[in-house]
Amino acid sequence: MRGVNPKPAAHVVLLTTRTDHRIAWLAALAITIHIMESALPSPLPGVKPGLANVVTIVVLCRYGWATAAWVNGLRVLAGSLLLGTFLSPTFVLSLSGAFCALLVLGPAAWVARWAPRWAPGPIGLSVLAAWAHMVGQFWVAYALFVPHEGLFHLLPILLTVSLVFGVASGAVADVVIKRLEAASV
Amino acid sequence: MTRGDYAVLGLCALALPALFVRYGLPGSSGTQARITVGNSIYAQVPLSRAQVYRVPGVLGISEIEVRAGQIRFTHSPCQGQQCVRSGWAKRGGEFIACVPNRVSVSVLGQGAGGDYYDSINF
Amino acid sequence: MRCDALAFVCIALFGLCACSPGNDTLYKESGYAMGALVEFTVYGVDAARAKAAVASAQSDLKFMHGNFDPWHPGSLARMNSLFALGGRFTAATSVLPLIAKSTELSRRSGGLFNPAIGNLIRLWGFQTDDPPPAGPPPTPAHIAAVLAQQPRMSDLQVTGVEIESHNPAVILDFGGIAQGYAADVLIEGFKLAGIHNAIVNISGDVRVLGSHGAQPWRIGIRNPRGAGVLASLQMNRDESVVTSGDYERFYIYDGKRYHHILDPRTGLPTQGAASATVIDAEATFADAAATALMVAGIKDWYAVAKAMGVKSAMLVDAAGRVYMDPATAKRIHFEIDPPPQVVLSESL
Repeated sequence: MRGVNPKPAAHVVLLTTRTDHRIAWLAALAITIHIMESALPSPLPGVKPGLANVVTIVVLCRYGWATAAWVNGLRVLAGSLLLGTFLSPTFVLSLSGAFCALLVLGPAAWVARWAPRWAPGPIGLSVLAAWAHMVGQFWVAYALFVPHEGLFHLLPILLTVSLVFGVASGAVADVVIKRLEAASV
Repeated sequence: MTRGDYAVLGLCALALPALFVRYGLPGSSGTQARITVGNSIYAQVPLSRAQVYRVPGVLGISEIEVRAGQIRFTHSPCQGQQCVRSGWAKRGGEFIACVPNRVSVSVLGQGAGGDYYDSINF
Repeated sequence: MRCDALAFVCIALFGLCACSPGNDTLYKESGYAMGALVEFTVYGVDAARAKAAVASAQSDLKFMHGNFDPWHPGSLARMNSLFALGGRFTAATSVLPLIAKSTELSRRSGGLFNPAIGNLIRLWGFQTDDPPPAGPPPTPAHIAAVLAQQPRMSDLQVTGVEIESHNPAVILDFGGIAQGYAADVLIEGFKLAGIHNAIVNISGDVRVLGSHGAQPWRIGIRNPRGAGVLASLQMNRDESVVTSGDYERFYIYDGKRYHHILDPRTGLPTQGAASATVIDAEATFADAAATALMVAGIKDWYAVAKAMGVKSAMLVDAAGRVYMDPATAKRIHFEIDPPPQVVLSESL
């Protein structure tokens, strides 16, 4: 009951915890990056550096999978509302990508707990998330929007690019995590 | 970099070449054609190289031309000349047949993109 | 246990990749069977099973061809010669269903689809595939003499397995229906063999079953005037598309073109339409209806289609103009540039 806010009974009282505040702050950061990134020109359709991925990985490593899931989900939802793409194909693709990334990061985080020797660090997690994001998006794009098998010619190229971006944003996440650890000591 | 990171990167490095082999590169559709005589394959030819093929059928020689990614019959010993009239074929699944001479050509779609047409109604 | 966890991650990731459909289960076999170009496409079962089903279809086709060919010794040729003698005899049971179907469809088409005019076909020389017929065309007097015999499907009387012709001039030639019927029979065979996605293409008469994985089958319709494909059609039901065209078999004599689809009323090659395409659940019906619409021509196709119960049809005239009903127009995707001029009819 740490976050209880004493207010007169006439008001609706929202009970918020520190975790809620943390999620809100981190989601705000992720949404900002998400929107900034959407302004960048895209070299190839469907390819983005995935800078918001950095936030997801940092959150995953510091606060665990549940927080990361919240932050990522809020990012997709609020980001689309702010960009005006809510319920559009872009939103559906973004949501399915985020969903698949979280689906894969769950067991990966679980490995970190039960088999620390084999736990992937920020770079490995970032690559896993980037690939899962791409495969999820791709599959939904094929199933819902472009049911042409010619699309599959693009898959290897897209996954190569997302491997490169995954390593890059993983490296950034690694630096951020080390700085945060140094600051909190 | 942890041991897990290396494992993930190693798996990706293994998976990528496999994916390239499986799905190929974009834009590689309809690059080959198959020439059939009777019920057997006579030749499989690239459409990227301009060439005239002389194919013996049951009546005589069918002349088949490849140019600029397309294929057509230019000369046929049959009377109807329907094959010559059919003109160029270029998309995966398109085919031209000279039934009297038993010579046919079909454009092959490549990789997972497959043929543009699954069958031709005529 | 550690390795198990890692394996789980890998399976989760690669499982997503593996879900993607490939075309590795597509089996295609084509070739010439009895003078006709035949193509089988089977999707979704392993190659060995597809191959076995296609082999069985090939032998069924061979059997049907032997039975339905009026011009070479076989069941139908024997029946045709017995019709000329008159009297009742035991029919070949494999031909009876085709006779029943043809009689009904001939009636519904008002006689425009008439498989009893074998005499007329022979007069023009279109009974042979190889070599193609050569001119000159028959004289008007010869044509008039054959027309005067008025052979019709209704001249036949079937009682149980016995058959009798009340007109000795009846010679059955199922050229306008047998390929569609064969496609239907072979698709039924595929269904019994547990194949749910397939295409049977017999000399251009296409019957499809199921779909090409996640996407429908895409069928190209040949351009009757000019080269290549006129339009494409996506099919993902148990459906067929059949086209009759004046380009399929013809000869040129003295600069004039004579094609193989004959008008039973005039005894001459049909006029007006270059091709008629019918889409229907049954290839047998589509085949007979396409023939009837070719005979009806551009002027009367709509009335005949309506009378026969055709639900989807497209005709192309000599100038390349396309005539069709609105439901067909919705499904047809033109593959030529610029697209042809389209004349829409009322809905069928």
